[in-house]
Amino acid sequence: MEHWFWTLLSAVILIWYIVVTAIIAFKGSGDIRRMIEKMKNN
Amino acid sequence: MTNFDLLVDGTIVLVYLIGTITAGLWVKRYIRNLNDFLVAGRSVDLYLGIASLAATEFGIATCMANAELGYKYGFAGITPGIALAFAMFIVGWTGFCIKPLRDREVVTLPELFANKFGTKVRWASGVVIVLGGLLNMGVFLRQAGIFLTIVCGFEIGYLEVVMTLILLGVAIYTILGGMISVFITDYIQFVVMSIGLIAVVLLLVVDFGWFNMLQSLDDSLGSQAYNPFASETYGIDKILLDVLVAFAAVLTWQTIISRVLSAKNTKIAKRIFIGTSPFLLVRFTIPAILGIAALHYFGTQLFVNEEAILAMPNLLAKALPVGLIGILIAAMLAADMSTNSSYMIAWSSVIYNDIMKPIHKGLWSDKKGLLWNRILIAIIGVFLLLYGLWYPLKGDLWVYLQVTGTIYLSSMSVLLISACYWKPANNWGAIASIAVGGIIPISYLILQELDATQTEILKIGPYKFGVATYFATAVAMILGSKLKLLIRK
Repeated sequence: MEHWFWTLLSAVILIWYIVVTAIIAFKGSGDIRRMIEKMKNN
Repeated sequence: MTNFDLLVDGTIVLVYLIGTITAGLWVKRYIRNLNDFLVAGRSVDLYLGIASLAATEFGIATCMANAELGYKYGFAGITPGIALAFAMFIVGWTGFCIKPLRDREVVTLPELFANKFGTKVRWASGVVIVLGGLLNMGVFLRQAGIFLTIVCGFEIGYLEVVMTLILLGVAIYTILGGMISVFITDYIQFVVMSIGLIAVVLLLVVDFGWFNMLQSLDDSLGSQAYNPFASETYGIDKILLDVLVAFAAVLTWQTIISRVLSAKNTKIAKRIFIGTSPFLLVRFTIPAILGIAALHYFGTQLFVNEEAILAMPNLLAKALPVGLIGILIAAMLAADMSTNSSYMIAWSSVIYNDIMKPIHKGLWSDKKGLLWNRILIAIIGVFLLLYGLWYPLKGDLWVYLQVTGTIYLSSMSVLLISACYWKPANNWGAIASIAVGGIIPISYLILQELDATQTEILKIGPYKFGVATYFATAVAMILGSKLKLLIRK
């Protein structure tokens, strides 16, 4: 039972990490572009 | 013995270093005033905020500390991560303290305290924050040096050289580009760090077999590897300290709070907290899996007591193939550089904004302010180098981080909650709280070094000291504030 709980939790955490890394890698670059544009205009 | 190949792995690391430092230097042209330098013009959006906060809160020291917990306690060692993730989610969801903090558009916590408690408390808070923060950060560089010399297979004599080079690289772009450089490099570092960590964990799990690793845990630690409440070493006092530290850190740790203050608005600040909260669980789980893999590979006898922290880097040096070891080193350098840059600018901003306030009175020009912030970052760099070489770490690294963090986490969290939600709170309570919060953990650090008191102090242990500090600071705030009201009546 303990094995399965920690196996499941570790798997969920790892999958979440992979998905979030992909999303942030993609959308974070847009945030950087907008931040720099805003600072340029200031 | 390591699989590190100077040509293949060295090239990967070099490409990463040139890329990230160039990016950090490229954006320095957008620094026009002190606000740009310290809070990136308050223009940070959700995904960049999450990347930056996640990268900052994961350094080599954290990775080694949490891998040590996994090696010694198994999955029970993840408990602080569960507490931190829960605390950050709750604070982000409710906006508890962070909403009033962001709404008031301050640069640091002591600036907020000045309105409620006066300028003396602002100054004292600045001193405590910097003292606790620098002591906490002081061990980062040595841990990074140890990790890199083991994984790269360098002679231990090169430790100081490796430490100095890491610091120099970070200091250059932080001094020139301030918070904007920190955000841009944090983004690159988050991506590199995540790819490296995910690849290494997957390789080790496939190579060793997940259930073989769990079997090793069963054989070495039994059921206490899965249940912190069943453990003789991971008891109730440690769990209670984990929870208290988690809430206090999420509310007041300057590097975390600086992301709230740099966010575009309060709504984004709350969403950054909610979005980053699961990462705090990742921050413990991934290193803990590496620690468990080290336990499977080496057993419990090869690295005992204070050497337990060396099990994970020794495993990575031996088990990873050429190429992947270069990606791992780039990932860990990324993790460490993002942490160091954020920490350096966080403490320098507090020194300038709050401790030096009586000197500049907020009247210095932006140009002079920028110059002083850059000088302060350089001074912090020199301090880190000297402290990293000098301080001999005793016991668990995570315990050291908790105890030194408690110097300011305990009193600052009490001050913040009181400033936001408790009307009768006043400067007497604040000063009493700061004094108590500093005296107890510093006494612990000193007494554990003295031969006459070492045995007794270690018998009581750092967890009871830590928990007592949190409750004592809250009591000091209540009694101090009530006393002033009573006398003034």
